[in-house]
Amino acid sequence: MTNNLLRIKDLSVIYKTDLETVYAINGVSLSLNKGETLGLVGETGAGKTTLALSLLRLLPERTSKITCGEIMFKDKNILEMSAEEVRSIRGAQIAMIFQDPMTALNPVLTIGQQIGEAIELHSEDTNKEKIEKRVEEVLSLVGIEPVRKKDYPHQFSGGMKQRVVIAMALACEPDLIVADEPTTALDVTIQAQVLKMMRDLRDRLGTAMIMITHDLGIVAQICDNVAVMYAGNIVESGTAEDIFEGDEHHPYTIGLFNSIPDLENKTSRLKPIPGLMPDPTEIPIGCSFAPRCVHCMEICKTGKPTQYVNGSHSIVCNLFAEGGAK
Amino acid sequence: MDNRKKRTGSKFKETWRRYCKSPAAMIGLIIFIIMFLVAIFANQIVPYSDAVTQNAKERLMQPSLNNWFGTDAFGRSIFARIVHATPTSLFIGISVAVISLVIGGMIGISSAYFGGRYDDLMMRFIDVLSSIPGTLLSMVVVAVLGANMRNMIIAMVIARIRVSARVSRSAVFGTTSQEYIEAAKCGGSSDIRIMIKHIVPNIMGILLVDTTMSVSTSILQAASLSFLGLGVQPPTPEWGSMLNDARIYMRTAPHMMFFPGFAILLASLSISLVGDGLRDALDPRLKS
Repeated sequence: MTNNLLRIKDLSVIYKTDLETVYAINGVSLSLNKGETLGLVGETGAGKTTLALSLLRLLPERTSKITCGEIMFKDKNILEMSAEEVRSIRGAQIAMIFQDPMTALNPVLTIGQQIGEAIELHSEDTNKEKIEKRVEEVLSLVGIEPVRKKDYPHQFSGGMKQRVVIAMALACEPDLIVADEPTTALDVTIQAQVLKMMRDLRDRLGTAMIMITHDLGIVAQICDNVAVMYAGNIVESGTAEDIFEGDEHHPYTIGLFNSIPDLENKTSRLKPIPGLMPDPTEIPIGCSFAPRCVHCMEICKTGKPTQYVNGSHSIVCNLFAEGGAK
Repeated sequence: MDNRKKRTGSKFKETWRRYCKSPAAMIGLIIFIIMFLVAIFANQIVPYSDAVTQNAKERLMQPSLNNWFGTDAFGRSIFARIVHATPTSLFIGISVAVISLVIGGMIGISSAYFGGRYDDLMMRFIDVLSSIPGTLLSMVVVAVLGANMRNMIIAMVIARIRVSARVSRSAVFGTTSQEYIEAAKCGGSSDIRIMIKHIVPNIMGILLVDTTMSVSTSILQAASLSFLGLGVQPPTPEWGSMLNDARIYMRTAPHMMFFPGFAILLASLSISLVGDGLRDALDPRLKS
């Protein structure tokens, strides 16, 4: 067995309606080893959530279509599995943490019932007492008193609810957790708490994680590897060091970093990236970032940019191509 | 910690405790229990023969000590008839409401959940049912199956399915788009499990209110079918048909109308109150 847990190859997803076709993901490839954490960064609409949903085959059936590519999870292609097989993987081997804990919990069921559900579905042993015990274990794991399992979601604060959601994801000890902006709906102090907890749990349980976020601070805190997404493409990827400390960057990544305040340098204004993300119904023929890029060259507008690889660091940009003017 | 201990009771106890808090719900429950007991012990309260034996001498008598609720056009004791009609009427009302809720609920919930072609197909089927007036539809069904109580219940259920299907479908719409449904899918739940365990508890309040309201309309509709000779056959007493019989004597013997009408009112009121109380007690969002 290799150490590889998940390998996505050349995945493309479109949303198709009568009026238009949205190209949400355009040929994304990435891989993840056991126990690793991958940060998926990008601005809103870059296709991060679509990528996460396609991992679990949760894309809306009627409008979305995976046009090509494969998702290998433990050497099996998720896209070719039967509905039954996918269901046995969901929750048990791949779990998801949702963005908004306020809506991710069913208001009329106790949290114990909701956490217990996944266990009940996926363990062969459906002994009620054992399930209850496991629920209590998981709850104390995320720092909630086990007596509160009989409470309903509205009796918890936002941060506590997110802990419950994390407990639900952890219930079956999955190999991979997909966290879709798990801290966006929380305020900063709670964010830090939840992140710390997730990091501790990950280290303790050895779970691999895909962390979807638009907050580079979170990425720096928790991720081993980072992939920067833009308009359905991964434009830069590498280890956290490559991204945060490397010298060479995709112009979009530089733009992202320029948009966060820096404590050391005195700047009166942040430098946002000018313009908007391209309309996903009309992806440019060339580099999708070209219209906003300050280094844009003629070849960027006409053809797909080339990939530049330096060790673990990969940048998809013509700037670094051979003979490219820096 | 005391507070905690109280909460660790069983779910039934907890619901009961909250149910008891509402006086209206308790009154409803007490009335309902009394009616239920009347239905069970009807023969002990007053012999059945009193309800069907005609007595031409004593027709259209005002309420008195001998005949508590007076007598009807055939000199039968209205009190005895109302007592003996209780099981029939309650049974018709409740069974029609519950059966149509279950069938209509399944149609409505599944079509809102799956959507698309399935939804279209189901809703057009419901549209076809709706295009025929309810009473007419029931009459056709009874005419085909034959006139007796069981067939009448089947006919009324068929006529009512469209209402409960529509009500439950529209109630589900708000919940299917919620993230917790997706989260449940993500946890590996099957569609049927999601519908039963996640969606039904969420729309329980709406379903309960709709069902309790349909109990009284069903009793009244049974009356109009009985009136047409398609349901409970005379001389078997039945509240709705008693009410219908009283129409002709409205001016001369208003008591004939008052008592069966009051019985229907009490039955539907008590069931509505129970339904309301149950909804409040079961919905954790309203928990104080």
